[in-house]
Amino acid sequence: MGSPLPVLAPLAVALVSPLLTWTVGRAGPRAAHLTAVSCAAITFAVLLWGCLVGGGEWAWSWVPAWGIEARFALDGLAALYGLVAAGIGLVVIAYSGRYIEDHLRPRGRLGEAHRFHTLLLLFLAAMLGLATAQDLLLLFLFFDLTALVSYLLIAFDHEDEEARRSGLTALLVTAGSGVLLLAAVAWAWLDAGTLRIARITALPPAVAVLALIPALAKSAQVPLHFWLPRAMVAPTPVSAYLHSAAMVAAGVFLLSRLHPILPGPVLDALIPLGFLSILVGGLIALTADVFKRLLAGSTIAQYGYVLVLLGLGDVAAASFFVGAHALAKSALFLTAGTVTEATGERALSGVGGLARDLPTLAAASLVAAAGLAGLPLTLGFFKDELFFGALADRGTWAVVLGVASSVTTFAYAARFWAGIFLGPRRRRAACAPTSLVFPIVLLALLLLAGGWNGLGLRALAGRAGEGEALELAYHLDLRLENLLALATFAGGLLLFAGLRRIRPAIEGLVTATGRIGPGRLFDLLVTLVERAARLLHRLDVRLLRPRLAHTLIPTAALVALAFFTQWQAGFDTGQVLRADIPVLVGLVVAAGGAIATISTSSDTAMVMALTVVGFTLAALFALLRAPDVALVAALVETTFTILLLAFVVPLPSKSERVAGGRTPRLVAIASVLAAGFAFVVTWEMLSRPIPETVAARYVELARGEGVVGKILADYRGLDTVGETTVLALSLASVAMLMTAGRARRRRP
Amino acid sequence: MSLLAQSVVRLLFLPSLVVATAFCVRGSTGMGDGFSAGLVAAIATSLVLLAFGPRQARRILPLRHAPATAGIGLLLVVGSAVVPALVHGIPLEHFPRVEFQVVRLGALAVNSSLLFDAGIAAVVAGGVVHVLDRAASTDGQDA
Amino acid sequence: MNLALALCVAVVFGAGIRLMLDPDLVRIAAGTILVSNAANLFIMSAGTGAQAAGQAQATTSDPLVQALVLTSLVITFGFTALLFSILHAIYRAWGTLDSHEIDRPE
Repeated sequence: MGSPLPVLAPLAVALVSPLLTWTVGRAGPRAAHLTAVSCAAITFAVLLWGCLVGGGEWAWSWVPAWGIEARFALDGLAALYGLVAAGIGLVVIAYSGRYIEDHLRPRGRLGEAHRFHTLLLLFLAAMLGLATAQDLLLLFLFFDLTALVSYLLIAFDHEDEEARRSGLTALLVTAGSGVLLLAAVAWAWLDAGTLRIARITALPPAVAVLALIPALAKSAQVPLHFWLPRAMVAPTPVSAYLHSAAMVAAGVFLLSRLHPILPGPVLDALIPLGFLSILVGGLIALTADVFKRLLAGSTIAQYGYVLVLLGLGDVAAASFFVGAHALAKSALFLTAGTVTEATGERALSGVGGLARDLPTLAAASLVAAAGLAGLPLTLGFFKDELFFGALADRGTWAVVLGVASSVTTFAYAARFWAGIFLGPRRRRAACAPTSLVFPIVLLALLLLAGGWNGLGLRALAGRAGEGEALELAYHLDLRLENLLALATFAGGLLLFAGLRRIRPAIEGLVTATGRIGPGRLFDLLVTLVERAARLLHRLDVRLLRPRLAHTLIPTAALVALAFFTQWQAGFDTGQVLRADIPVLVGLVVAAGGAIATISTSSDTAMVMALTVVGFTLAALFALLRAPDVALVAALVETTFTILLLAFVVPLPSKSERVAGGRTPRLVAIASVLAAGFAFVVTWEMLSRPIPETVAARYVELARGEGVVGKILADYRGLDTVGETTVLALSLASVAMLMTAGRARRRRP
Repeated sequence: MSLLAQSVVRLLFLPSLVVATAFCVRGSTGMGDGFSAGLVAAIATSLVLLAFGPRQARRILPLRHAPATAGIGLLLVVGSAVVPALVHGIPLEHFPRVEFQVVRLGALAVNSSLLFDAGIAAVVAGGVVHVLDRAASTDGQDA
Repeated sequence: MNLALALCVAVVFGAGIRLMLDPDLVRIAAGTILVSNAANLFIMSAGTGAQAAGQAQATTSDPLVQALVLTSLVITFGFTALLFSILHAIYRAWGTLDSHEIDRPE
């Protein structure tokens, strides 16, 4: 592992693809699709090449002072997850060309097709970045990026309120828990002094827990699983890609990447969590009527398997499982999409007996379902074999749980396939277009090819687990794995046959847990937050006065606290020299003018009092030996007086304008508090003069001539540019406001 | 009364502009900067508007060029900030640099802050005059 | 001297806040002017503070402070002009300058 090209090339291609698709795709949906498929194919090819030449590594020092660098490497784990993401991505993008056109045309949004493809490619890029990241910070970055893109994809039908809500739920759960990952990264850095995963020896338990939660959320494991069934409202290609092969894989990928440095107890906790997810997911899948909901439950369950395998310490087996599952599940999701296209139905209760109308599809999805259920001659058989093998030396209870899990998998896989393709025909199926069937056939062929001896996946998985290629073969003897497999098939068939009878009981259980489960808790939290926001808005945001009071009063309390506790620290009253007397007089007059502004109800008198304050202050500035400031202050005050008088004179007097009434006591209290606050702050500041400022340096630079001007124009010139921009903007806005009024008046 | 005001304003206007220019090109000593120059010009113009009324004022002074003036001023300001940045990498650098000999035009020191001040004066004067002009035509009274 | 400066700043600031808490929009705008004045005085008095410590600037006060106050004055000018023209537009649109009236949900 040395040269950067094998890892940089696929990343670069993946990053360029979305940009290319976006710009070219504006020409039309066909152009977008063609570009997207080509880009995905090139990405896959380049990635494959990178893996075949043995991977590579690239590092760039990002913050050298802290030792933070951006490091990407194409190692075993990255290769497996990357190829899965890129390969399934390619297949899904090929499928989605025709699908998204048919999806958007009735909604009149055909112009958004290129956006869909761009988002899919962006997600692919994020997955590749995540897979190859070797640095904790990069890991977090790409992890969150996947959450963000998935939000955009789930809520793709943005005019549908349910889609928006489900997308937001997914975002809140996955990206919200991503914040915990950031905390974990920061903590790990403080603890280990480095962000490079290879250099960290072990993570403290708290950090591991903080990193575990977002991984669970991302892979839709209990208790953060509820977003996945809701996310099924997304278009089918999104479900097939994100929610079977890519995004949910990101969670277990994180756990796999961190596996060597996770503490033992955390790993042990994965096993019960995994089994719990298998149970919950299985129940959902056994009772769901809508295709995609069944498949969502199945995804939850299958990733429970992966969690158990990771907990048992077998990273190679877990990675193999992810790969095999990705092939089977995405094929099944695509099947669901095609069936909906052909019949218009989304639920099992509406379809049946389609094997006669759609034979190719039936055959392909039979292979996929078999792959999911773990039947021999498919890649799925080996994933179950690995699972049983890992559980075998963990005791009887583990084996029993394992068999129970596989039995449920078999049952719902059979339920899915038989429910669609066997039995009485309920709805006639139109002919399914080739581009919607061919990808499924491709995936099925891969599953069959893998059924020989695991295909390339065993080598990939082996390298992912930092070991040799997995040894997978069919053994026709009475070893435990085979017995367990036979038990699974028998039990599965029984369950499937008796499903009709026990289904009501399971449904009852599922509804009951739905009412008290984490999903409901989440909904309650969201409602609570919304209500609190509305309350705050009513109290604080709408009106100016309460907002000011809410800021002033706590500030005043804090400052008062400081004043009374720091009294001893010294408030210097300062001496009064003879030369200061004019300044004193000026201050008194200014204060008097200010009091005059508030004690009059006539507008003109108020403007005059303001003028007094302004000019007195200008005089004060001159007395304080700041002539430039005095000049500008005087000029500004003159302009203000003209402006204010011209504005105020034509208005009706205050008593006619305003509803009147006595000013409430709160206002008086707030003003006194504000004055107290200003008093304390100013006095304190004046009592501690700063002995030396940068001004001395400026004076030196300017050689004593026109320092102020030089400061404005040269040393702090950018401030002046900012100030001029503010001024220009204000004046332009004023001019525009004036013009707008005139235009409105012209209209009769 | 207004006749008196008109004659006074007629006498005062040009000297005010001279004062404004003086502020602008004050050189290294003396008070004033571009902003004050702009304000003085703006106040002088508002005096003219007050004394002569909007219609006549527009005939005497080229008030309709006010927004263009403000625009040019903004360009000057931004230019004197950006051009040194492009050339030297430091925005708004004093040109010529402090070490070099000061170029003089008589008693006037010519340097980049001259452009800068002129720009600010143009922005302020143009902007305020434009606002006054608009306000005068909207309400039929001046502001 | 410090006390006097602090008192003046406090009075001007307090008056400004009192005006800003008034329901009448014109008073609110006048309040912002007073608050800006108080802030400028505050910054300027910071310049004199350095003097009191015996810095060698007998002819003018701290130039950096002056530059900052100049910037502040310009910005105050800009946004006060904008504030008043917004008030003008509100008066033309709603016919009232009472913030309670305007805030009332329709």
